[in-house]
Amino acid sequence: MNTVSLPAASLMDATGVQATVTQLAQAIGESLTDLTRLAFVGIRTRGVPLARRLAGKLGAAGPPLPVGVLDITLYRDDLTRIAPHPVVHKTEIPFDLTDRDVVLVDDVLYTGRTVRAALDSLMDLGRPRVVRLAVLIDRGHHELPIAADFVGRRLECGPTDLVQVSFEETDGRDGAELLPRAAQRS
Amino acid sequence: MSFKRKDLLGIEPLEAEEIQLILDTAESFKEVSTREIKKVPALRGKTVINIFLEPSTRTRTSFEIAEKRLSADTLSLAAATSSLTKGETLYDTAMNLEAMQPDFLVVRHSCAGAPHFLARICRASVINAGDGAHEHPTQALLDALTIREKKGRLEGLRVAIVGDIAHSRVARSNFHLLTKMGASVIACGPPTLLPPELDRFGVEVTSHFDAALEGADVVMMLRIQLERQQALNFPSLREYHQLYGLTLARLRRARPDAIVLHPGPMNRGVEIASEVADSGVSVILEQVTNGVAVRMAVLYLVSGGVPLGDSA
Repeated sequence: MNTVSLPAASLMDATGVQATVTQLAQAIGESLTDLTRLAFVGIRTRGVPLARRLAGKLGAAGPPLPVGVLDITLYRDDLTRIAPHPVVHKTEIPFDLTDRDVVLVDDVLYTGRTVRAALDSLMDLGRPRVVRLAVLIDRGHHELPIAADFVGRRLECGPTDLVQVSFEETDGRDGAELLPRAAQRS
Repeated sequence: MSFKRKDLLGIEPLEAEEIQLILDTAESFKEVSTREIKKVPALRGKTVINIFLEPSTRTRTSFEIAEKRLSADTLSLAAATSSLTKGETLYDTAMNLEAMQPDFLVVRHSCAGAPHFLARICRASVINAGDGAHEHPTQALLDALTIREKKGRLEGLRVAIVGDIAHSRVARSNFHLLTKMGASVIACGPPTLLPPELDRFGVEVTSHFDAALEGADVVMMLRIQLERQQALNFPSLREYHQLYGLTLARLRRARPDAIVLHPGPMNRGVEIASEVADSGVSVILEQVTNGVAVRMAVLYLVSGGVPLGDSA
């Protein structure tokens, strides 16, 4: 396989990421007003810092809002097709999901398959009252009937382009880049 | 690091990084068993056949639970009810099972090397659940997970493994695992139960129980195999208990924060006194809990292994 990568285009700088997180938090706060029910679940890896930031902003005035961490590896629909198997990390939901208003959080929405896996996993862990989906970037090309309720930014890009989000907590800096790919297989 | 083996036949062929990966994966799997719905879909549509040609409660139950918590379809064969009692060879039994397209064979056999033989002739992944006095890899892995949880590490620990070393596959797998992970190991037992080939494992050997306990972080007591009593390896169970039975008084020679492991089934009052087995230093039931997580991790990793890879 011969992949020609064009130079990366910046989608958001650090200020852009932080402003987008603030907007997302506002939108969530306007929609889910009962803070006693509200909980965040971040999908590993970069849904986790985003979930923590959203919980931090919405819970700033009162008691801290619960944040869980979901590893969806065991729920992937392509496990039988990948070898060796990906590393499994811990799922940590330190609160009861039942009757909660859960905001599922990921950095980028693409095919929707990760979200499908996350929903199945959540349902095995409890019975939330509602589940909403928040993402920093929706890049389109969904393969399943799944849409986000809270979107930081909608992006038009090619199906093989790479959208890369970085967070201070996981990558040492905030930012988002588009890595266009003219995938040429030979 | 990724796990590329199709089979898990023993600890001896594994690299330290592979052991590390299995233990880390097992740690992630522990949470599944604490859920209200104790199941993940990772092995949905896969079939596991457990072939236990030697008696077992703990290991077989543990494997079956691990398989079910991964959503695999499972069935178990026992020696007494299988065609092997009608004289069918292991080869033919295996070929007939293979013809039904299982994905895993979990094998316990009284002959060392039986799982290796099956791994060579079967497409299915083979997991060794104990072969003769050779290896019992998942037991050593669950022991290591338990020690790591309690001590935070394996490297640099002093581990005394005490009892019937000669007949113990648990001891052999633990020698390999613990030395690969940088622990120092002392094998201890009556001279009649210490086989001469122990030097090749890189462990210290002694028949002096108190010396073995001196400064130990971990004490692993092995079962005296009562069914082998006729071999006259020691005069009486009572004498064995006096010389090699772990009591609280004896345990004082180990480090004050030492923990005690036993692979089960225990002979209370022989190799281990009840006052030790039931005390706070004993992690015997944690071992059992960890056994399920370790077996889930092994099944998961092996199922992503590449067929025809090196499975020596």
